[in-house]
Amino acid sequence: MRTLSLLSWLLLLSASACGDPAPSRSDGGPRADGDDTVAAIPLLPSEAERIVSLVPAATAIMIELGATDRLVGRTDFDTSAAVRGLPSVGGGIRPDLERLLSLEPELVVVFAGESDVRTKERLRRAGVEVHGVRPDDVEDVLAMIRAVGAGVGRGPEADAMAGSIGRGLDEVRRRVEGRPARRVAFLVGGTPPWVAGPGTFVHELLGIAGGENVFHDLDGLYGAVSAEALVSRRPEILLLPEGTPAPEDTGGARIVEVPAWVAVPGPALARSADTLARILHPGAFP
Amino acid sequence: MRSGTLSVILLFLTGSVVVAGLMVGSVPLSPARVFAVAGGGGDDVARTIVLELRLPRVTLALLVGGGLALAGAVFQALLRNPLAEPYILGISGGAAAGAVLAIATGVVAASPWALPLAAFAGAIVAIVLVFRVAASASGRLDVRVLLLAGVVVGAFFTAVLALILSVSEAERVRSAVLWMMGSLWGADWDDVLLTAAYTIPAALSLVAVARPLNLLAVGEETAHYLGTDVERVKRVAYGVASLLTAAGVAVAGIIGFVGLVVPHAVRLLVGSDHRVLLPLSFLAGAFFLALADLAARTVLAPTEVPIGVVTALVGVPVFLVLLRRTMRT
Repeated sequence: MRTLSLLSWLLLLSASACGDPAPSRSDGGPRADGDDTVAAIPLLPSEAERIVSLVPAATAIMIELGATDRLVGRTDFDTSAAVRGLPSVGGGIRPDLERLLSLEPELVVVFAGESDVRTKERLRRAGVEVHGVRPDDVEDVLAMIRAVGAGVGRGPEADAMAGSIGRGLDEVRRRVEGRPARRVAFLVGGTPPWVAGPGTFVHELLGIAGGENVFHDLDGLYGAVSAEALVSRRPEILLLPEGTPAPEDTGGARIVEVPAWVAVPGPALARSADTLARILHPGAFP
Repeated sequence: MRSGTLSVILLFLTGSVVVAGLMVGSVPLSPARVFAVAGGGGDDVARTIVLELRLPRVTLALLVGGGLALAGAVFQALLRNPLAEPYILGISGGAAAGAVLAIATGVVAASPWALPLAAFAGAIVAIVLVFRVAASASGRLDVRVLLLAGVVVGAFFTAVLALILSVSEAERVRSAVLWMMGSLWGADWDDVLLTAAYTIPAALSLVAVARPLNLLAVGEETAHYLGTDVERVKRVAYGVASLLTAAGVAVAGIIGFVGLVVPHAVRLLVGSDHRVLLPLSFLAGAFFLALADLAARTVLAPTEVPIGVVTALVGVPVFLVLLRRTMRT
């Protein structure tokens, strides 16, 4: 079960090291994915009326932008009341193709990169537009918001949302300015524990909130670290999403649970930074 | 049971499970819509679901299930070991190591074919390695050495696999775990064609060595004196059954129990004449895996149950009942 919950968590968060170039519909056949690293996510090529998002963060953005009416399906991970009534296509990786195609989507939003190449290929072959997103760091999340906004005909609203997140992050930055950085690690579960490393939005949010990620040199976005490494890095605070089992030996670090939405790369990013800052620097929020 | 009776029963059951596999899925389609597609018409959604999703998947299940059961029956005869199954000689370990290596290095992103090709290549490496070890020991293929070499090579590749997984990124580990659980998810016509191109010639050449395999079961020396080219038969049986397994692993991952339980079940019902046992094992394996896959994709839809879970949950009790009943008489 622990493995499963870890896997599902990673499903929510992770995308891979390789990018997914803009989809092409012309050939319809298999083609190479991930031959470049995309810094900015290309805008969705056109507005689509019937959309299924296999990426819960992108789904959350569509809901927030008021485009729920364009969604014709959801994954098991989308439990928000706005979409709970929609038919589920299973998980975001290897979805139930039969259900997915029966919903006749024009556009399916997927995780960009090398994961689940088959799903993308099968969808393209069925004539469905496939768009990859990869919300790794904050810039990716903002780009994803703009890309998704364009796809649902809410470009200006998406720009506004991205702008307000940017301002919210600046506000948090300003609040904790000049305070000494707290040594912190963000655990996402698992045994041995998995932590957020550089290149993740979690890592960036920690920095914005006046923390210093003790695993700033991790190889890869998220990775397992030994109990010894955890203790020897001497974090002052261990952050973990609610429900994540805490490691047995924390080397004196204080364990603080954060709500699960804090670690979702979506519209609530500024609120996440604010929550983290209040934990790391309560004195900055009188 | 007479083999003719069992053939008729199995053909009927296989036909039924194919029809059921086309009618039933996670999306309810009325029989009328499915029949319309079968008649060359039907609406677009029904056509896609029946012709592009359900039919290739059922066909692939038949081919992979038949291939695994047949390979299992051949390995049991060749190794004269009731515990033999298609993966016993390190093929699953080699295939899994190849697949995971492709996943860990990111090669899989290049094409949907990268993963099956890597798995197949890994299986071939294991097959060649095991064969070289077993054949070099005494100049001829010693089946005891073959078994030992297979188990040891398999253990080695499993260790390589664990090593790769332990140093891989989270997302890649997830892809690898999904692959190793075995699944017919996403099967398309390319998979079917490729698998058929392997399975059908392989199955025919294995059935062709059924009589020599009968003699081998008595003993290699006896077989030799009865005019069998023992070495050639062993090599053909080992090589072809291995390739058959490798092809199945490449398209469907590692699916347990079919190759172990199905040949035994057939043997309990009709005896161990390989001229009957081999073709009927293929048929029974095809039926069994198509049935297991139907359950895997519908019971908890839209979530898929790993097919290995279904083959074990269904196969083991059925086999135990069969075993008890046969032992009593």
